[in-house]
Amino acid sequence: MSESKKVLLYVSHLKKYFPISSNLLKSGGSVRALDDVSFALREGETLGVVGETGCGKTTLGRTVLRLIDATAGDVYFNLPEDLMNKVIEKEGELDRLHEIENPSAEEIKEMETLEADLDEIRNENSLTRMSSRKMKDFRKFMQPIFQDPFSSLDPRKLVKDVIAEPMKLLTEMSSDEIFEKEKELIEEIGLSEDHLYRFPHEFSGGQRQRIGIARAIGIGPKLLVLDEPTSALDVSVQAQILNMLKEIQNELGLSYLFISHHLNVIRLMADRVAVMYLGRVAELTDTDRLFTEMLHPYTKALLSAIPSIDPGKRKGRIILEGEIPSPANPPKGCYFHPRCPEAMKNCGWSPRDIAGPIRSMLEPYRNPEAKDFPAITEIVTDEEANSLDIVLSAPVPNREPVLALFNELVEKEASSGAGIMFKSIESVKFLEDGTTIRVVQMEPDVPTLKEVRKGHFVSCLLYDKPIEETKEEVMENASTATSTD
Amino acid sequence: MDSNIDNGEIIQTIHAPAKQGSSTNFLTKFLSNRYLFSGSVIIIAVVIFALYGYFFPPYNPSATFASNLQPSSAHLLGTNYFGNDILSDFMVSIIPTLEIALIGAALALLVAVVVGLFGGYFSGMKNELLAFFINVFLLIPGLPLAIVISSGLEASHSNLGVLSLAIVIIVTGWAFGARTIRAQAMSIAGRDYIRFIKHTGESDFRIIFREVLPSLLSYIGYVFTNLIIFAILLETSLLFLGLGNESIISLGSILYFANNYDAILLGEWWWFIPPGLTIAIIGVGFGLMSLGLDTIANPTLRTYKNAKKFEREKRQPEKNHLHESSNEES
Repeated sequence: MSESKKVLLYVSHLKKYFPISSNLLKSGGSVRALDDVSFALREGETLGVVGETGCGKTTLGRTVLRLIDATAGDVYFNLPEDLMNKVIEKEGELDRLHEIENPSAEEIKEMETLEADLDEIRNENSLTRMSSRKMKDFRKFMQPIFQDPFSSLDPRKLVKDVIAEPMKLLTEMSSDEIFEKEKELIEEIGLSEDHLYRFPHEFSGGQRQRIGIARAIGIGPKLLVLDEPTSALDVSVQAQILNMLKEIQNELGLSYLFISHHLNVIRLMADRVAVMYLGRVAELTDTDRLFTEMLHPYTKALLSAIPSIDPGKRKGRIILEGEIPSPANPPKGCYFHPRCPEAMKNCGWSPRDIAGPIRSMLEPYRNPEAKDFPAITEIVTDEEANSLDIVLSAPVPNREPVLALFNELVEKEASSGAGIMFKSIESVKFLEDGTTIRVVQMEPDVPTLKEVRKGHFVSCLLYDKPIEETKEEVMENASTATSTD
Repeated sequence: MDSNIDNGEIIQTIHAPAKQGSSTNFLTKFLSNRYLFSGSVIIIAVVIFALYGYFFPPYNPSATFASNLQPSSAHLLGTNYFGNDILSDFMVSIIPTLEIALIGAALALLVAVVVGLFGGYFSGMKNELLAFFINVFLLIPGLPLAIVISSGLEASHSNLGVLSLAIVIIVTGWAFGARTIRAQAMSIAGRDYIRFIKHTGESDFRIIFREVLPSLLSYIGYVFTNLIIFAILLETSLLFLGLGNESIISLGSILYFANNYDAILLGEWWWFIPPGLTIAIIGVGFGLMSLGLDTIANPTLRTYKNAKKFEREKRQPEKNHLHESSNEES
């Protein structure tokens, strides 16, 4: 995609938290469906959004269209070119300043003025802050296409009225003009004029989806948000629809935000791809590069799961262990670290990850080396303080050997294959009462989406500059641990 | 000029059959819907009989004869304890019964539709609150509540008459309808086509009344017919228990007097069977109508009617053309 083309859609730090209502009076926290998502979409470009079920793809589409209101963040759409460039420049500058760890007074001041400037622009131009009346001018240029063709068309209306609806509501076209346009559209999607006089239930899924497309392109939009447009269709029909979408894009120069869980569809359709995990963008780059030189461990696992007829290729399949964590209570640090095959000690290990392994480590039946360790009654985790208390059944008179044994056990676990989480333990000490051992873990680093190569954004500590050393350090530690054994 | 006039005439003849076609289509559809058809026939027959009886009863219902006469040619259903002609009494009381039921059911339906639509369309607090109210009213046992309200109203506002029964029907009946409509409205509001209309910036109010309400018409019809049945049964049971206004003439009050003056013990079936049977027949009639309405308003049962109409209209101008050319030839 040529960089010279104008940016049509710019999404900045978009967040959507759904409240969990446990009962009428008490709120039960929130589900982070979208957590700080940013990207830009140029004119005529297709951005694919891919990820597992529940990673926030659909929420992203709906929030961009403002079918649901965002919790925070901004969506800039279809602004004049110079204004859009100004916005991107300022937002980028603000992000850069936010990343400075200990900003000087000057930088803080700069941030404040930038924030004030931006707020002015945001209130005026961001779709998330607009009044619904003003929003109407923008809605004309962005249209949704839904996943389920059986519920996206009004069953009571003739196809004629279904297609006419957005033109009637959003433009000033006369009914004759609308009808002329409809005839044109229905030919374009490969149906004939008499189909206008039928009800949606008289069509197959693929035909309905085509009617949905005709409805969306009728008023001359610039952006289509396609939410899994082919997932409900069978494979031969999928190909038809995808080819039609490509033709329409070439003809009308539309931009697509193409949401799908189907990697091959994304590969066919998208110019660039954003891989999402638990409401965050894990990796964002050109499609070709993503499929050949992916960097994020999650992307690697995801792409290795594409079925292949070549038995040789199947060997490299990465199978992720565990479940997707609940977005209501996401892990600390990088959301992916509990399942990540390449996790490091600073990736976000917290007491809830480590409590189980410590318990089994101290279980003398499983681990004979722990038989000298005093009996424990419970393990108490404290996520806030990133610490974990091992409560012993009786006070220990001689503390030193117990601590030494514990450290030795931890060392041993850390050098084993899955023991990277034990490396995150920073200090182990007895509390005053003598029955509690407090284990404190290091504060995790949170990865942010960074441009590691030109046009290749990854949100992973492996590719953060300063972490490169830590990674080596980890390797070093591992080698020394094995040598001392 | 001649051909132009010809054209005009021909166009007129094209329109006429199309109109006919649609009306016969409706009629055949109505006739082919056996439930709706038979239900309507029953209700129409009852109403005609009731109207006739209301205006032309054989005797004045308050005229007195010898009491407890057996059926005879002079008094087809005999006379009651007070010496009134039972047939006249019965014929006159059907219309008031239906009137109370219809007024009560219509008002209860209004409440049910408003609460159901708004409760179903909006999500969050409004929905929860309305659902809570619906559930509370559903949980209150209907008959005791009705007894309490009607006796209370009788004591304080004895001049309300028919309206007091209507109020009882609204209070006890709306929740059932509201729950049905709310459930359907929720399902409709969550569909993608409603989302699409929201995207075009339509206001919630217009979406509710122009998109959601029309697609619920079949359910509203269904709820209405069921509410009528409920209203008739409630009304007659209250009057049977002697809780209504004494001045109200209704099938229920006939049953009340029949029960109080030992019609069953004395084996005077002509006193209590006709009103009881009429209530049952009205119930069956509206029940069949509600079954039929469900199928007629369901969009998936509509067919190629419009496409056929289009084809017909498309074919006609061709004929027209042929006609014209033949005219020219001649």
